[in-house]
Amino acid sequence: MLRFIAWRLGRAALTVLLVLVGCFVAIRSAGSPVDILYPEDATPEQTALLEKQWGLDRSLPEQFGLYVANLARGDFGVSIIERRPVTHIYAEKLQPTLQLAGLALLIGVCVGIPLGAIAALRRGRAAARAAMALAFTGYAVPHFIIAIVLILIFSYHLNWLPSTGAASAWHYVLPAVTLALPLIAAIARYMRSTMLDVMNQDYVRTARAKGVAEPRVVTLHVMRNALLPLITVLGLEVAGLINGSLIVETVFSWPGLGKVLTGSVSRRDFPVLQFGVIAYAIAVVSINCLVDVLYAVADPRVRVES
Amino acid sequence: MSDVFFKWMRNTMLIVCAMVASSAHAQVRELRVGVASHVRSLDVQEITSNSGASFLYQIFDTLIERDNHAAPLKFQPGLATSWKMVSPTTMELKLREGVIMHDGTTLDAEDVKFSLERVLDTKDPRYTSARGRFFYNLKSVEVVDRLTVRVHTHRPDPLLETILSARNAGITSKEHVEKVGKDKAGLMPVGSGPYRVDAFKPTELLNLTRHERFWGERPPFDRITFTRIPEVAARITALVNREVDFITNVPPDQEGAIRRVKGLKLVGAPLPVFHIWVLNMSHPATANPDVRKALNLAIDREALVKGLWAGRGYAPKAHQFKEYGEPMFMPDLAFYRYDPKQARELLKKAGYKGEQITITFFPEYYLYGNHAAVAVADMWKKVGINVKLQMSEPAFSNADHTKVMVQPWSNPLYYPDPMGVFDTHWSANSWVVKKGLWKPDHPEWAPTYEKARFSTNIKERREAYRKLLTMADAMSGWIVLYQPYESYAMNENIDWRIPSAQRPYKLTFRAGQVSFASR
Repeated sequence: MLRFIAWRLGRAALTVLLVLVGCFVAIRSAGSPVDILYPEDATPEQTALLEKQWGLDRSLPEQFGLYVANLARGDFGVSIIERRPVTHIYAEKLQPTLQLAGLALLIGVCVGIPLGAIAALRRGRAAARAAMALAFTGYAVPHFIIAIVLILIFSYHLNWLPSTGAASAWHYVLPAVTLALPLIAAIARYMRSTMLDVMNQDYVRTARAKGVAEPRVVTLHVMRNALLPLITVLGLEVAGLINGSLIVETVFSWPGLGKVLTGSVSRRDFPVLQFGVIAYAIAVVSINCLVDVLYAVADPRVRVES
Repeated sequence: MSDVFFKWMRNTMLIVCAMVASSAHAQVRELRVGVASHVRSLDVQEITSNSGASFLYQIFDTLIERDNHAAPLKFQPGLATSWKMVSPTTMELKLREGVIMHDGTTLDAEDVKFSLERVLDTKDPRYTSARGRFFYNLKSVEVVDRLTVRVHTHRPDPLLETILSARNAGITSKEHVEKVGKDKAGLMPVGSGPYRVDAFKPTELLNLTRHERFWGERPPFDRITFTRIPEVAARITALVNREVDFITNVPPDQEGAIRRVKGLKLVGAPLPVFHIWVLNMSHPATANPDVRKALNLAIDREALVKGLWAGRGYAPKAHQFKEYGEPMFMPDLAFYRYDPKQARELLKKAGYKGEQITITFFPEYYLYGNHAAVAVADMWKKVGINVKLQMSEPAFSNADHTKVMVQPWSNPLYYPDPMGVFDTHWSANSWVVKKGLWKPDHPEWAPTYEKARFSTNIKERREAYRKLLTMADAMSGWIVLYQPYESYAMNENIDWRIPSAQRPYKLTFRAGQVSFASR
């Protein structure tokens, strides 16, 4: 088991490193932040001074070495544009993003699992078919379309819910629902198919044959077993949730990480973007790692095969 | 009978509700503004952007202020109560007594010297933009006594009052900046204006509250919030949904979404900004003045204004704005016209043989800029030019300017004088000159420019400006496309006018500039 974990962790570290190198090279090849920071009439001496100040005049490997050395000391750098430590910026913006994503996850699980279960139990009936058709649509439509449609209906026409910012509890409704809809769809579809699988298993038939009451069969024998594979799906979906939140935050002017990340790309704010990418990569990789380990704990075959 | 009674009851209840609501709102009068772009800092000498000017105007005072609607400019006392020239290059200003700044300190001559002189520090690149645009003729600021300063210029300057009333000449607290440093002072600035900063999240949000000890008239609001909502549809939705009271940058094609909704209104005008295309005079393809002239003549500006701006923009006939007022605005000047026949003749004369001319354009940077590029490419094709369109993103990131043939730019009027648009864009210090795109090679250009900028005789200045425009037209180094039209949308009960004596896009929310009936 320990060897398995060590192997997975090693692979995770390599992934993060590769992502970092890719991001480091890609953003620098797009141009210098100095072009954006300065007006066109800045003299070459002034731009050279600033490039020196930020170490942008050195060679790429040198810059990278310096950056990694600083990282090792826990120094993540200072935003070129805002001139304050990137950790301050992220500390300020992390909470709104986590709140939004967490709320969406909660809605997704609380609605998706029962919806999938009902669809499996009532298989073939009109209501179940309608629910699954809806779920399928929710899965197929991208976040930004859902967001715009919701805004159009609930903000522009009905004036029921606010559409920008995070000033009150009401502000959470539209972005959280936007993020949750595809999640509900994914969970419900997966739940339904695993439920159907489990329902055909021998032990379920046995339970019924020995006279266990139907609600007990469903909750204890079917649902419990069907929930296990959902762990994997949830792991993947959480990563997708973070991806989706970048777009949803932009549409709803949400004061979270999404705006920081997209803004840092267009402004070429290297330190901010790099920190964001590393943190993001670490988050996604750790979730995957955790899922792998949880799976290995739950299912010994995984351990043996790897 | 019962109907009448019911109606009476309903109306009474409505009135009571309205009274309760308005008394609740009377306690805190707040204006919530949704802006298209925000700022990363509020350093009054550093930030020269449009949105920056709007924010800084509420927070900072200048020594001299302007009548916001007068053309030509009319100056009013600001932090200085009087001023006079004591020599051709020295202005003496008497400061207002007892001005309490947002940090509780009292404004004095040291604050003025500190604020204005830091722009002259060539070692600090953050002030390059303000210096190049406004303050390059400033030499020093001398403290005479606690409430008297002398501003020295390198040369006699006919525009000194104009420049000292630009918001980048705002006065900040020396004590505050020295205590916390420039970076922090940019995030938590201290001025003496009617509103002080309550909260500032760079590039996102600015909350202002009324400065209780403001020296002037009490401003109309207790709080103003500026929230960045970059997407125009999202801004409109926020206004329609009453999440904000006022939004900026509504293009003509989006006005319908506002007009359909009761209780909202639009305030718009063709702005004193030119959308321009620079023709690179150093590139072989655009080096011949006849070719450049032909490119100019082949553009149907009226068609662009009609097609892109729903007829609302303005197709100018010369590089000048009516905002100058008399005598600098010259209604008789007419250079730009649509003449495809002459364009073809000029191309023939120039020996043009179908060499490719590339239009570089910045997607989403200038409103309708993409459409303009496509439309003009079509107009040019009609006179026989081999046109190619090339996208460059982000805007102005084309590092190698020697390869550019045609590229977009804008020329906003930074202050209502010909030099407010000419000197700020086409002077010898400008990037277009430094990078060789604009090469005014006429032997009389430089001496005429001198006169247009520095002559203290206003008639001489006007005639020099006329001559400059005539020479510029002969060289045809740029194309003026049009003046854009943009609107502000707001609650019906907000009474606000676009301040034509300020730079375009500036929001003015001080006493007497905006009023707000009870909500």
